[in-house]
Amino acid sequence: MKISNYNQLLAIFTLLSGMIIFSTLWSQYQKIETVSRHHFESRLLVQTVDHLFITSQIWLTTQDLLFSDRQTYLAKGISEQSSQLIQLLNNVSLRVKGGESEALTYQLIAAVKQNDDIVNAFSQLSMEDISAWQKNIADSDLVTTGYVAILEDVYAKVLAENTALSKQLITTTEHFTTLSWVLLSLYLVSIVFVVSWFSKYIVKPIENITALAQQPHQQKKLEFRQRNAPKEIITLSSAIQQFAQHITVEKQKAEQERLNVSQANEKINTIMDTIPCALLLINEQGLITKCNNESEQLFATTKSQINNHYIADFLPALATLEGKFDVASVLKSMEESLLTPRFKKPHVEYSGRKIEIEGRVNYLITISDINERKHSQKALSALNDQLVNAEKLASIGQLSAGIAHEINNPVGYIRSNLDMLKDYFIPIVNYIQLAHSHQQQEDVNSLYKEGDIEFIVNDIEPLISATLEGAARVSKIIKDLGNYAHVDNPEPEIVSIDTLVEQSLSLVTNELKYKVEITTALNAKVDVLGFPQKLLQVFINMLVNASHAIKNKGLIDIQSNIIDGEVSLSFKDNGSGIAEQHLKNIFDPFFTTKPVGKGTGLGLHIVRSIIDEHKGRIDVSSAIGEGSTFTIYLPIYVAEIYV
Amino acid sequence: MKSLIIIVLLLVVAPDVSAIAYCSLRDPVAQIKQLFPQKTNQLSIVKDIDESTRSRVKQALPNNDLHFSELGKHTLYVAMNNQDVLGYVHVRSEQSKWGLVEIVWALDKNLVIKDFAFQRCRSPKKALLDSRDFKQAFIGKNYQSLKKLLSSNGITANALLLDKAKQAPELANVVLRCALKTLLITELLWWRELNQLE
Repeated sequence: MKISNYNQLLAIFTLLSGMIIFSTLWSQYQKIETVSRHHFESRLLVQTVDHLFITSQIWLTTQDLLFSDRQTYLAKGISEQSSQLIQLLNNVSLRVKGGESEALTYQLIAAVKQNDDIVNAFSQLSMEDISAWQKNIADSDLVTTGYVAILEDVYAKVLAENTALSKQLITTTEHFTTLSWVLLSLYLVSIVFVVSWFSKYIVKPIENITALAQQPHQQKKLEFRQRNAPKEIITLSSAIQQFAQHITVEKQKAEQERLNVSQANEKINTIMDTIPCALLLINEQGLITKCNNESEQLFATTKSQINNHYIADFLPALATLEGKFDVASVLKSMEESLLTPRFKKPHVEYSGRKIEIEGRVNYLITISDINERKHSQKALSALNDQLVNAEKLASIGQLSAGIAHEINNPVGYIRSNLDMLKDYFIPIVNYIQLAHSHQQQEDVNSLYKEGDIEFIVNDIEPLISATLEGAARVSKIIKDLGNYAHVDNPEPEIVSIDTLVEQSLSLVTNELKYKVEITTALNAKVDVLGFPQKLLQVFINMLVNASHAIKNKGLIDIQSNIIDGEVSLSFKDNGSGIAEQHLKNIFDPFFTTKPVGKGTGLGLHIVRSIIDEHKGRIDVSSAIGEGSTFTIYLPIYVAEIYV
Repeated sequence: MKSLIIIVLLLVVAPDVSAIAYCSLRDPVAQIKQLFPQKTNQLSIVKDIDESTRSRVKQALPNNDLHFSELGKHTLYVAMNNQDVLGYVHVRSEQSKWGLVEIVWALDKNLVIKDFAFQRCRSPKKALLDSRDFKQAFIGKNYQSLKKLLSSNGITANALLLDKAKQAPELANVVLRCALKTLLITELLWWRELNQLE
């Protein structure tokens, strides 16, 4: 049964018991009221009869006076007293209506009236008529004696009734009191019984459950289920039992998970402490909350000196100019940076990731010591530069024949011109000396004619011009070569990509012009930020490789354009092409398809490294027998304008 | 001779025989005959109870004095068997709950109570006192022996008498007071005449 049903039963029980108790007590009280009222009326009747007694006594005494002293004037007073008595008796008769006393009362009234007649007769008697007096007195005594007897009888009845009513009132009151106590006791007993029953049947099971729930942790299985209890408590206890079992299972799971987590933590700690880089956990404010052993080595201090310190104290790059934690910087990957100047080995590389731990944003940062790498990089860079230079020199060597030929031509005709000028020098000198020796004009003229001075004079200027032009050509070649051979400045420069292409062409034209027809469409007309010598080396390499791909005669088409905001520079040849299987390796170092001793295998590798250095890229497409196209993409230089 | 003396005496002592005498028998002949069956004739001696008598009664019975209405003429009846005095009949009234109780007392020549009867008693309890057992408490007693029936207060009867009238103690007291007054007054007021009759 449900508690609500018990409550309803309890309410009904309480209501019914209350109603029964109240109605019983009310009924009993009504009885008391009735008896009390009757008793009160009875007391009034007793008082009335008492009054009647006294009046009767006075009445009789007055008669005795009349009889003793024969004072007949008393008869009138007696008559009036008789009237009062009759009135009183009528009152009594009304109060005792319906009983034996009423009949007696009427007898009393009759007696009074009868006596009154006798008394009234006294006034008619002669004082001398003693026998008449005595007769009347005797008659009156007879009547009044009967009157008194009846009156006492009535009084006895009234008194008895009053006494009975008093007893009844006392009895009823006692009954009421007893009944009240009994009912109250029964009610209290019932309440105690109900409460104890409630306690046993409802409260006790709850206390049992509570006591079990409050028991300290025990290994043994707790039994929450209650058998003898209301339905809700049975259901509740079963639910708690299931819940407790569920908690036990979940607790075991949690314990297992705790062990797993502990093991995982150990693993993580082991990994963290084994990982060959500093690993730092940082909160949103940039405060280091956890670090691994490697951090101690990197920062040359203990964990206690690392934890609860700001990351910016170690890595200034992770602080904004205002000194706050720079979230944007921390999320970079493989970012090289420097530790604070107090570190002897400041070069580090860091990567950061945002992670949420327990709902809070944290940042996990790995910091690697790259000082050795930096040293290696410097060495490698130097080596690379040497390699690039070597390759450049090698390409110069490849170009040297053409360049020599190109130089030899002007040098040849410079030399020829100089020979001619040397030949012209003596006649000119002779003529000038003759003219200055004040010889005859004719001699001078003769020498002018004989020495063909006019021709010489006319020929000198073209010879000098041609010589100067040849010297200029040589000078340019030497200059271009010098520029090419020259090592770039360490800082990039703004250079015109088309100009660089033209410079490269001027260097290789002599090498290629006998078997390659070069066409250009340089439409980019933009600048790039880069190292001109290195880019020149790239272009020369492109052209030389293209020329090498062409066996006899061929075409090289050079185009520069702007595509998608980049400079696109393509070198297309119609040479032999590259086998497909080689395409993926052509940029690898030391990869070459040329015979041994003919190529170093570093050309394209250096090309790509230079392009990479310029933040560009290079693509190649080729088909055997059809030729190859190398396309270089470079970022356009855009001048920053500060307003 | 004795009759002559009595007649003379009566004429002397009771000159106003025709006057109204209170506390008298209503039917003297019958009532005296009832008390003294041997009676052949009777005498009535009427005397005044005055203040001196009242004072003497008060002295003798301090708490039982005569009330005012008891003063006046009173009749003492002498029951005679021819010339012999059989005894005396004295009617006295006493105040009770229901008016005056008139008791007819029969005394012998020694003023010892021979018997008594109620001439008027309106109380229904009268029958209780009319019993022989109650009367025996009075019969044969003179004034002195009767006085012993009084309780210490001098008004009410003692327990010995009241025990005989448990249902009517008030009436028993009335009867005792009436008896004492009757014997005392008879002796005080009529002693001379009674002595002469003897």
